[in-house]
Amino acid sequence: MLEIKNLSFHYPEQPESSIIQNLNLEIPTNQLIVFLGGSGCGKSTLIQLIAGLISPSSGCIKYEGEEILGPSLHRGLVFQQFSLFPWLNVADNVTFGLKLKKTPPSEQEYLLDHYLQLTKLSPYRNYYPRSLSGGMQQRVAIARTLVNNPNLILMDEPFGSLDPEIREQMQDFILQIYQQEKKTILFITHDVREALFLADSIYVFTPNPLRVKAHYPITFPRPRTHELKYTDAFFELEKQLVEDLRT
Amino acid sequence: MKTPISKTTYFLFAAVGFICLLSLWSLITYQEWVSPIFLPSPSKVLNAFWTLLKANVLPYDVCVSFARIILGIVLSFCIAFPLGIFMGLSKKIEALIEPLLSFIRYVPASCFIPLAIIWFGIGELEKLIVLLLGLTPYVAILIAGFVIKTNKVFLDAARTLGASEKQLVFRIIIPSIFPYVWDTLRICFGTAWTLIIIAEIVGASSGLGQLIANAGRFLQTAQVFAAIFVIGTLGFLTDYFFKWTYGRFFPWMNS
Repeated sequence: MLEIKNLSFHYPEQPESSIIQNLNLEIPTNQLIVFLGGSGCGKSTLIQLIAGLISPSSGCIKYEGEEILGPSLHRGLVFQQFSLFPWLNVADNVTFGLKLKKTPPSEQEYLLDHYLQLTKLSPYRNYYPRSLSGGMQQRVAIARTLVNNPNLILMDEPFGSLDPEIREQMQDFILQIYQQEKKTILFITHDVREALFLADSIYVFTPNPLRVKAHYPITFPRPRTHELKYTDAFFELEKQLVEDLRT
Repeated sequence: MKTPISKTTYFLFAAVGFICLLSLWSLITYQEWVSPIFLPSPSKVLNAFWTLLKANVLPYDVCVSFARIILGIVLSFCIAFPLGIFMGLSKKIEALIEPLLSFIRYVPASCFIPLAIIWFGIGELEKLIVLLLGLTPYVAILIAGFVIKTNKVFLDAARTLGASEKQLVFRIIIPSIFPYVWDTLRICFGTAWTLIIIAEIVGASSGLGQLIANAGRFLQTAQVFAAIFVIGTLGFLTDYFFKWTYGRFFPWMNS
């Protein structure tokens, strides 16, 4: 369980303009939760707080009962921007975290093979990131996060810079990972259709400061296909969510 | 925007530049429009080059100057690299060192030559000190800048993957700045040549600067030109070496 209690955040140099103010949330485990909100509403700040990369101005965030005081391997983060280390090839990027914690080489190799297969990147293990497409780079970033076996996977608009077609493929990929790995995924997006297609539950955020406007449990059956996006139920929810974001 | 051209076209254009200069030079000197004391002909320069080569003067002086440069650059980097890293990592260390280095950096290193001679006499230590004073502040400030500009996403990504502060320095910051440091090393060679030649002209018993100074004193203009061409060629080859190795050492960088 991820608990957010009376969370507020402002940048030290701008104490009068809070990005988040008195936010309270309880996120259950083993679900795919989507945080939906417009650009600049503070969703990325919230995910950085959950990742432990920045500290709250007041309030706290607890994960599995323990207060988050810094980054941890239990909480993996996939960034919006391409974040692969350009001087390392795909294999070395994926095993970066394993090398830091001195995982035995044989185990590293086993995990590398497993996650390269899962992300369909086995033929590219010796490629440098500059030789990969945007979608492939984000798949490597996801493999790099998964290989450390985090309980909570945070995804900060990971497909924001991808073409629509690649974006759909990546959505399928996330659902596949979710089915196979049985992890809690906290996914940020401003794309309503993406949110509906992926989520077990959607929190709609509004800005200045960030607050929860609405919460929707999504009950579309799994496994999901893109046909779902053309059903009446999907359109109905989409309309409601767009309305929530507007007002 | 520049339109890209092939390597062959680039080479051809570069050759045309050299040929034009050589033609103009030949025209002026073979027509004897200028006295050979001021501008000797290409054949006289070639002759002087051959004489200096045969007498083993040129190879010896090239080796001496080159050895001084290598030693100066290696020591400068040994001092500047950690200084730059610490300055880039800590605002306090930056405040302590950066203004001092900036002060030294803005004083032309050639100003220190007389002082270095007074302190250490005319010798190897004096030349090393001139190179250190000329290169270290410049390199340290550049390296600090590279550290500060390390992509924050790489640092955040490494933190979420379990990197400690020490691991961030050795696994992220240093590898990410290496290509820029290598490029700085290349530029330093040009600066080092300038400094060592001036230091050798002012006072030395060996080296290309001393060769130029002696030849100038005895109006051996052809020898001066021969030495200048050797310096130019060495600079060109060094530059080429660094560009060539850059592609091999850092294949991951965007071209």
